[in-house]
Amino acid sequence: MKKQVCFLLAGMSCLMFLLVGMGIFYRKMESDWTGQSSGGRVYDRHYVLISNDDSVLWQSIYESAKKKAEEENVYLEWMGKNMLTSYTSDDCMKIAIASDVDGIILYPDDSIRQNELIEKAKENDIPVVTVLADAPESARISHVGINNYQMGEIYGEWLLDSLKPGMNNVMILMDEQSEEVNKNLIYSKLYSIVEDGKREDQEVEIRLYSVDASLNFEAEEVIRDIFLSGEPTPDILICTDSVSTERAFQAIIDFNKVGSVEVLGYYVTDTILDAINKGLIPATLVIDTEQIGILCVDALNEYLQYGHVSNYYNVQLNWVTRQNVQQYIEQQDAQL
Amino acid sequence: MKDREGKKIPGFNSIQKKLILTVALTLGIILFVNLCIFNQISHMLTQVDSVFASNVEIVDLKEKLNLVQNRVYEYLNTKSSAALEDYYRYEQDFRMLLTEMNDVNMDSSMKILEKNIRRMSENYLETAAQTVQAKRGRNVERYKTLYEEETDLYQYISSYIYELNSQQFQQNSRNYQMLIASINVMKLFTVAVFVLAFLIGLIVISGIIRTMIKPLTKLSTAAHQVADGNFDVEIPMVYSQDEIGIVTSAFGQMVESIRRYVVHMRTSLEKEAQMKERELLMETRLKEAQLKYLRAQINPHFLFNSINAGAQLAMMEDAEQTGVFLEKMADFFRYDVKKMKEDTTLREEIQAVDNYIYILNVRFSGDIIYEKHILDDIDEMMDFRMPSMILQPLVENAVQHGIREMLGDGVISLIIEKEDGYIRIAVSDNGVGMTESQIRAVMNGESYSDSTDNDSNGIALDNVMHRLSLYYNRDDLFQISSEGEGMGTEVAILLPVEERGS
Repeated sequence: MKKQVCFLLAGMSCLMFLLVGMGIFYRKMESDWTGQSSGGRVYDRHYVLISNDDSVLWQSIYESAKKKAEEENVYLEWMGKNMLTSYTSDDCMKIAIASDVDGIILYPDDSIRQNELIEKAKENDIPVVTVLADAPESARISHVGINNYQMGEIYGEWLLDSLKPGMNNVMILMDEQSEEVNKNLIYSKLYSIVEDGKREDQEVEIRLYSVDASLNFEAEEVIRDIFLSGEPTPDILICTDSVSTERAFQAIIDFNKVGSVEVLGYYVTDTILDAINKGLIPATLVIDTEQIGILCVDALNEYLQYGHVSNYYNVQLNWVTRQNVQQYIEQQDAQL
Repeated sequence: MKDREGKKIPGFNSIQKKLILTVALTLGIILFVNLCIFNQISHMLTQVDSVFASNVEIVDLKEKLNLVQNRVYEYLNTKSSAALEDYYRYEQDFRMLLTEMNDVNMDSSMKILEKNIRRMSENYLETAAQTVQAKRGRNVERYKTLYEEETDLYQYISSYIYELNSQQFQQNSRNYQMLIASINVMKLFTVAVFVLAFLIGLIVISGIIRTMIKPLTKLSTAAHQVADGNFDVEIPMVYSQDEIGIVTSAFGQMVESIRRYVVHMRTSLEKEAQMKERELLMETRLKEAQLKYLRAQINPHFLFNSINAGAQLAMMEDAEQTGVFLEKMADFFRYDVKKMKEDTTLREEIQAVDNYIYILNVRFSGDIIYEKHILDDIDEMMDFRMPSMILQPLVENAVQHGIREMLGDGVISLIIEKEDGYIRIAVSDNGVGMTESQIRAVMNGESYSDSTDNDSNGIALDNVMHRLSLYYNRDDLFQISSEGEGMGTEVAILLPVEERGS
């Protein structure tokens, strides 16, 4: 009898355990579904990032901006990204304005149309911050970007250290889309530093080459032309965007110019870092994308809170050389 | 059902209630399990229903948007009041659907999409209203511009709706997969639960039935044994207070009663047999005594009538002593005959002894000295009933064997006294005495006196001893003591005052 009672109690316990288990399992499943649809956290504000460039650079800017935004309880949306339909920056601006967002971070093309949209955003009390490129004639509240003057200065100083006695052929590849004034700023500052700082036995010839980074394969063709054109191959090739940097690096390998052409790159990719690590590229200039993201969000927050903000935020530029490349490689790996 | 005392069997103790409770418990468990499972399943079905509900809502939204856009376009084209009415109606419906969309900044790309759609739609509706207003106001430039804006918004909203629909569909499909997977898991759970519930029910019911059947089986086994005559069967233990317990308990009591009854009957029959045996022995001894007496007599009535006649003749001849002697003789013989079959009183026994001594003294010229010591309170017990022909044979024995040769120096003492609930009657003499072996022989029933002795009335000492024993059903009422040869003998009998042997 005792045995039976034990069996019975054990059976009842198993039964209750199973029933409770079923209930818990189901509630968990249910909370997963409702969790998905309910979304969870609620943010105070909604900012959007509008940029057609979805390179690693912009990915990095977006990540750091999003992280900063979350700390400030702001939701940051990369408008138009990962959507089935592709939108232009103008479309995104219109959508953002119609969606009554609280702030826009824009990579502008400085067109009249876009400036009008920035104006419209302002009319709808939506502040716009431009990033990396500026639309100075527009109603944007602030700009976060590279000081081209500073860029020219940095390149110039590096050049000075790299100059050899005799003629030094320097070629600068610039984005065709970039404003003339920016190109001029970089060039003029670079030139003045080199001219003022070079030794007497050093000669420097600086040439400017335009590359339309938006066109596919343009950079590669241009660089090919540089090496095959019959013109003297540059001693130092300065690339001012990441695509040109990668193409130039590939070209010097293809044309067996490693060691004879010094490429100064722009931004970091795995390829560029690897090349630096192997000593194929001496250095690459990198902007502090984390800082960009933070500054963009801060600018918007400050404007919305106080009604005014600085007109310009300067972003730090750093060299990545063989000495410090490892930390950047580690950062890249961490992001993956 | 009621127990032996007619009281109803309480609470759980009734088999009926036990069975009902057991079945109710089992069914209750199964019902509970079924309800849980049913609840779970209906929940899941609701979820399945709702999985793609969000997609249906989105499609509905899109349709309403299209209708609004179409009606605005139609109105702008035709300016018909029907189109305007439709526009207002669809615009209302569209607004209603918008209110159900998310409007807060939630941490979910789909919720943000919803919010954007809602805000854009609100702007769109405002623009549409302005467009219609401009049309009504015939401001061609304005309504055309506004319509372009509106159309832009319409396209953005449409594509965002498409995007949302797609994302939701993907999520819903994932949820659906999860739901199907969880339903499969639930199926396993359900099967396990049902099997377990079934096993539990089986254990409970079989346990209860076993507790009921087991005592019945034991009881039937015991009943078989009792039917075969074995009343020493082990009575099954009573564990429960239900009907079976009561029957088992009653059966046990019945078997115990039968056992006791059998023992009682056996004892009774044994006692009866013993009694019959004693009666027979008594009868035999009496018949023996009677036979002996009758051997000594021809016709007792002729004898003592003749003696009486002699007594009268003596009186007539003034031979007083002779007359008295003959009277006492007649009394003595009358007593003998009369008392053969009856018990008598102490008074009559003593009288018989007195008569006997008188007769003997006449015969032996007063050679026998007779001393009678009766304690005072014995007088109250003179009517005490005792077996007859007890004292006289003792005295005769004392005379015959004790003082026979003593020629005038013989003394017979009769002492009657009360002793610890007995009347002690001792007949002692100062005669030849008895040795231990002689005493033992007499006590063992071995013949001491010759029953054909001419001077005897024929009733031997062992006859007295046996009759006493039969009368009182005890063997310790007769005592012989002597200090040895020449030291005299005392024969004592004890008559229990309270009881009489059966």
